[in-house]
Amino acid sequence: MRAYLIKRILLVFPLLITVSVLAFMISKAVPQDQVESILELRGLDDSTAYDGNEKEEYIKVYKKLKYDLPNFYFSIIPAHYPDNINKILNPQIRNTSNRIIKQNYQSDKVIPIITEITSLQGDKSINQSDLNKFFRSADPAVLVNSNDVILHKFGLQLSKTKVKWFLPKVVWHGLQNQYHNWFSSILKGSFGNSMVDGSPVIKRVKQALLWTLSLALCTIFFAYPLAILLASFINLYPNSYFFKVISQFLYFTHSIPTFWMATMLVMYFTTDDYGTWTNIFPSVGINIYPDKSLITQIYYNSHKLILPIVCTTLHSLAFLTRILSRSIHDQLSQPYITTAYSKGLSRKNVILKHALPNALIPFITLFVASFPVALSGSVITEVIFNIPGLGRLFYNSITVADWNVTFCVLTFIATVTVISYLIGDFLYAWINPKIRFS
Amino acid sequence: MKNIFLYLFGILLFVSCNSDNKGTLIQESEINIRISKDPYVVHPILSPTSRGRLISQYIFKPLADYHPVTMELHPILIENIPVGKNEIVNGEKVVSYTFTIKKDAIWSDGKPITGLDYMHTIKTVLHPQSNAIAWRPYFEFLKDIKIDPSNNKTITVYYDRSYMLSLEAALTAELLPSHISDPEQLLINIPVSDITNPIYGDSTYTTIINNINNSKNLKLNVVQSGPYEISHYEPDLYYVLQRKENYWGLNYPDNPFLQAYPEKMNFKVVPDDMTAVTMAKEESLDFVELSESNVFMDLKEDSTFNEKWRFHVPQTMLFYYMAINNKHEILGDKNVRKALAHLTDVEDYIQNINYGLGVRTTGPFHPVKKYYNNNLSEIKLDIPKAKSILKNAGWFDTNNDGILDKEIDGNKKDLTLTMHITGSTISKSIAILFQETTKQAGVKLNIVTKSYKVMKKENLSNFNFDLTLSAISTDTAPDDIADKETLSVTLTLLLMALLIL
Amino acid sequence: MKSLGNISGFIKRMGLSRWQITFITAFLFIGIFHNFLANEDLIVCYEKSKIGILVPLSVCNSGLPAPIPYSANYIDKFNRNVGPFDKQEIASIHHRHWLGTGPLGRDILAGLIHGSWVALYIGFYTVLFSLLIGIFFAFISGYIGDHGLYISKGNILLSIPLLFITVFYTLYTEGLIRWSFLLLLCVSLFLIVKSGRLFIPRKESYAIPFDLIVQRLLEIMQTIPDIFFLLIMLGVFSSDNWFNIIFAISFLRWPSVTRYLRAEILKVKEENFILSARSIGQSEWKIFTNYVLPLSLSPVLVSCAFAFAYAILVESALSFLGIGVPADQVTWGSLINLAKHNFSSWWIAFFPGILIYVTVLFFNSLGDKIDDSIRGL
Repeated sequence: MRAYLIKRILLVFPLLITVSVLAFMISKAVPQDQVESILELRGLDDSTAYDGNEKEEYIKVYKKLKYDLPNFYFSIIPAHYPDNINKILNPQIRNTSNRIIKQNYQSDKVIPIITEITSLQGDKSINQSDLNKFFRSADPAVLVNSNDVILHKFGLQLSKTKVKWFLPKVVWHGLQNQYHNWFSSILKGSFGNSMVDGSPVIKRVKQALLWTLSLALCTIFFAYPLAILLASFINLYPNSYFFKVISQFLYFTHSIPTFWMATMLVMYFTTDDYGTWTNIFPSVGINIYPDKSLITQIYYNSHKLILPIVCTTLHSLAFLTRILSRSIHDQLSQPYITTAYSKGLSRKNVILKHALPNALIPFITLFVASFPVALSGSVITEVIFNIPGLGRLFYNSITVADWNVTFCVLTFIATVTVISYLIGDFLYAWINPKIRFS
Repeated sequence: MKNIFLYLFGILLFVSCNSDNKGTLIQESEINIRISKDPYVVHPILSPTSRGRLISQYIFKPLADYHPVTMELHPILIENIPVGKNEIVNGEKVVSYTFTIKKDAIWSDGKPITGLDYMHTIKTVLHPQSNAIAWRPYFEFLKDIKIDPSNNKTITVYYDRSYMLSLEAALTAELLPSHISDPEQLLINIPVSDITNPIYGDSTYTTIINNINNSKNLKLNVVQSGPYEISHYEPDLYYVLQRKENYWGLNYPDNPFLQAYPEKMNFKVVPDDMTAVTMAKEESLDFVELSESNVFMDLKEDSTFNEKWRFHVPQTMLFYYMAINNKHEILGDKNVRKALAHLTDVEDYIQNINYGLGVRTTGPFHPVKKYYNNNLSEIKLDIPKAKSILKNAGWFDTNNDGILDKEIDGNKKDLTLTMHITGSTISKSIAILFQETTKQAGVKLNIVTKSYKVMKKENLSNFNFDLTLSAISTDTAPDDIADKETLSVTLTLLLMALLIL
Repeated sequence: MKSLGNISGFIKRMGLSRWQITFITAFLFIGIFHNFLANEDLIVCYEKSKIGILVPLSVCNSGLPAPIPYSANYIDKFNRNVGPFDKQEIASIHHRHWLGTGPLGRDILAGLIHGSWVALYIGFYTVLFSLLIGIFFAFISGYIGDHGLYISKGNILLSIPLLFITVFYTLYTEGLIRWSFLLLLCVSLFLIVKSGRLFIPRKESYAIPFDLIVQRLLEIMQTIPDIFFLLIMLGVFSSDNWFNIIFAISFLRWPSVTRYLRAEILKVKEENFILSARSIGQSEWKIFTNYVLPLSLSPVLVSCAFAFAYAILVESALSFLGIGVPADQVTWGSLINLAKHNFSSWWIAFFPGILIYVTVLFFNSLGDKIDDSIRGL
């Protein structure tokens, strides 16, 4: 048992590290330039020609965020690629050189040429339209075919640097790289600052988490006991009309798409537009109680959370009840149930005290897995009901491309998932000795 | 050539609490205002979006601003709007503006607002280490600022040339309190022309600048020149603005910028229009700004709603246009562009997408501006004419598939175009309507949705697009065509097409 | 072929109720023939010189029109935002908008028909791709497992640099050279597998631990929640087309297929008839396709039915949020998205929602039915 425990815990760490590496690679592959987004937030719009103020601002922010370090600990790249392309601070030079080098030109000769060409921008004696065309297309042929003497000279210089074939090279960057900085800052507990307002990411995520947690906990708290009750009753009184109706109702509500149900409920049942009798639910929208702490605010707003809780609970209730009642039904065909009946136990006793506990075992994994699902699956509900929770935060950050917040939420959810599956496995192994010794 | 049109957005104003008393303070009144997005940065010189300005305008006041009705500069902190004087100072020609701050203008801690605060604000903006990047270019031609030695509320600014935006830039900066952020007056004593000198980049100065940079949500600023302060703030949830006692601006009841009627203003962040309307119906919102005109019109027709709410459509200077890439091989032909112009039913778009809340213009300038040209003709929707123009340009449907084609450089090309849009409701509606109209003339249109940033990078800045729908917001200030911050690259392209035609 | 017969007999024995059979036939019919049911073009042109189907009105003058003379994107300027019971300005009863129109004037019923085609298309391809990927991974992790493929030491030493070189050059070259390196990669993989021995350990050979690798892969896929993965993939890497969505959803679904299938394969693998088949010399692939796969596929069918429902739900949720779906395509979810901005027009939200609900209900109940018949209920 202990060996199993230790082995499972040890497997968690490589998993989280792999997920973090994947997430980091995705953020680097995204087409948007982080520094440009930050500058835009400060009111500085980017333009095709970086001159004057904007170039210095860009370089300042770029250096401060340490984007000039290499991406990862090592890179395996063709020999004609530069060791670290991020070292080039000017984004125009960097992008153009990158595109040209990818067409198989020798990097250490290309970069100085491009730097010289970039400084020609704005010079009236050079054919600016050809120069702009070159920067847009990153094609040296544009320069070679140009009428301008100087550009033509540069074009010929560039063409001479083309390589025919290449070998791979492995470059070791050591600990000075962006991933290492990011990862070690996470280990120290700081996820950086959110791009939109500069406040620490952890603070924002914590506030959003409280809302989502109250929603999730309420849903789980209502859905699971109710499901157990309903499933046991359905099996206890299989001929009862009432429970037949309920099980059919659950069967039908299981398939309703949550977002449609939520939209319909909000549109028609929160106001008395369609008649006062339809004003069943309190309206959406959070009220402000600025003098109280966040928890008290959630408590005062709890009547607003009724509708989202109803929506999510109904959906999971249907699913859980069906699975549990099916599971109980399976148990009832086992031999030990026959033994129990033959011992003379009442039907109620058999089902509730013998079949139900055994049927609950696979339920445990569901219960344990429901935490991460509840935390993450609330995106649509939160967007519709305007609840400032984790899902809405994630959705907003993705649209604004605020990667710090995105990673924090992702890491948090991944950790919760892994830990809950771990706990689920342990519980399963503890309850079912057969698994322990296999 | 595509015609350009202007939309006026519908903005809803409901005032359900009584605010008919002007000039007197109303005790214990509270207004709930809806904003659709959290501006995140509410700071006089650091907030880049106009939404941030919406909140900071109640907290920090500028010297002057554009009056919403007359569209002229109106004094707020100063007595009068100055007139430029041509002078010769130290042998150089300069343009000078002199203005005086109101005598009773004070900060909330009782200290007077003086020229020192003004100089401090401008020097902060100009210092290379500060984050107020958006403001810096407007002061490019500023030569010097001088305070009158006999009255420290009188200031003179000197520009080395007459630049039409210089007066506005000089006057609409909201002031920072210099006695709080720079009590030793270190920044103030740096001469304007020398401010980029590295000796002013050492730690004594940068500490001050960094403090201002970090005071993004006015946490470090404890005094205000306006009537309100932020008493509570939760990101993505709300801002609560509380009125301060003994506000000096009440001595000027005719100045619309200095009024402070409600005691408390709650700005609630509600991203979804539908949610905002349901909140309004149950009266937890008093003032709702809507960006979708069909929601606005729906509510206007609702009789029970009309009893309690007032509706208002202010002029917003939002300008919608369709940009055509003249460097495209098909669209480079003038006739194709003309045909496309005949296929856009601008009146229909205004009528049906925006419910008539829009005005068609002939250029990128707002009709109220003095340089608007009403003599340019508007091109109307005319599908048969578009078809005949295309036919004369050599486009025929040779294979009976409903799409016109033509031989260009020996290859048969279909008249298929791609339109890039950002996916907002209006751009989607216009694109879909346009797609159907062009289908009748034999032009096939594909619609591609991308987020604006990605679209700009991949398609717009390197002219890798055919058509796109876009919008820019202009303002009441004069339009500076040479200023690349007011016009994007594509619009410049469009204007060039205008001039050629 | 035998496995197909197995499956069809299976379906017959399931005993689908009448409404389910009518629904599935109607759904398939409407989906496949959507172009003929709702189109402003003529279905058949009568004119001798321009015989053809789906001819636009501009080309042909007389012909057979479609039952609903509007396509999903056709704009009817005179009937904007009219409900099914409101007065409509139309040419004839044939042109009536039976379910109303949207704010731009697009017919709702035509939109629903087009949406059913989209649902069918996406559901089918998602299930297909997730099945293909899932079966492949289940095969290598369940059937071959940790002690399946034995490759001699020398071969491993040779293959590692070979694989490295081919992968590297595939990534960093362009055009024809890249495709040839990709081909080389596939060929080298094939040769490596061929050189190994299945299930028979030899001296100096090591087994490739497929099961371990696939288990870890499954765990990684598990830790990232569905909606997050979709938001990142689609919200960030722009360019909307159907292929991205199909790829993203099937990428989400294959772990569950693999998990079910792997469990079943492990159960079936140790049966006696497998050993006897092997002893008479049947190749491993034949054993897998003829014996193992048909027996273990039944629970996967359950997963397929649920996956179809899941794909439809996810696609409508994404169109509702406005992510990843082409802007001019009308789907059920995009109609609900329209309804969000026009909430006084109840018909725009009501009908698509009902249709999504019924379709999802059908596929869920189908999955349940299959599940029941497996358990022998």
